[in-house]
Amino acid sequence: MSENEIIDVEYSETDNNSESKDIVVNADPMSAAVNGFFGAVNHITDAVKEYNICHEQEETKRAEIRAKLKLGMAEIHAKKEIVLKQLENKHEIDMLQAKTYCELTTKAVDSAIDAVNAAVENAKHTNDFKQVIELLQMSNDLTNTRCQFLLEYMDRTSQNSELILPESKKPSGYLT
Amino acid sequence: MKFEMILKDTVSCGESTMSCVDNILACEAYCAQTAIYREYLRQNQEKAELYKQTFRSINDKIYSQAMNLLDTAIDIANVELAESAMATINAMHSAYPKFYKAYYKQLFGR
Repeated sequence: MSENEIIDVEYSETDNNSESKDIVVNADPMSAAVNGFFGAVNHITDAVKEYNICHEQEETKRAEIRAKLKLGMAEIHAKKEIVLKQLENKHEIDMLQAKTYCELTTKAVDSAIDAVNAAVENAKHTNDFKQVIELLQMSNDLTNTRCQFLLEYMDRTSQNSELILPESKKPSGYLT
Repeated sequence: MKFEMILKDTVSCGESTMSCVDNILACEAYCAQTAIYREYLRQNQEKAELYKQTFRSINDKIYSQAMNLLDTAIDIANVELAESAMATINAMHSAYPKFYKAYYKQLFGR
């Protein structure tokens, strides 16, 4: 072919986004009517199918939410009951120990006081209060020691009974 | 899909509800922790009251004995006995601050 000979070609852009269209062949009115009717039925069937899909997904999501809430609440209540039970058991043991310790301390101080009182009654007859003074000094030392032990016992029990709770998410709107 | 918008709304509503559920569970956990802490404080108060009763009963007995001895010392004019009785009362007074410090530590945990 020579350079002067140009082949003229018709060029047109094709539309890629064009949807495929149904080609309807109008054979006769009855066929067209039946075709249209069944087309409408297909559309309705598709719509019902899609609606059922949405409905089922929604129901599943609702059930999941309900289950999560129920499970979460049950877990929290169960953990709370367990911790309260543990606290109660520990408290029973601690109170028993504390009562025993306090009773022993009171008995020791009572016996010291009784000894001093007996010495005072004796000294009133003999008019010699030196023994009373010595016994009083010993009673003071004993009471001070016992009170010191009681304070140390209180310190130790308050340290041992620290409550450590697990960190939890703060609810929204919680003001710090 | 015809109901695509409805499905999208369903999904977003579900996510919002799930976050509400998370918030409800967080509130419930917070309330449970509060109930546990309240019980812990009640138990601490019970123990602290027991110690306070014991301490006060001991001190009351020592105080009444010391006052009787002081009266006796004044009656018989015995200075040493009076000084011993006063030393007992002073020792008892000096124990109170230490006791109440330990008492409040037991009561409040700090």
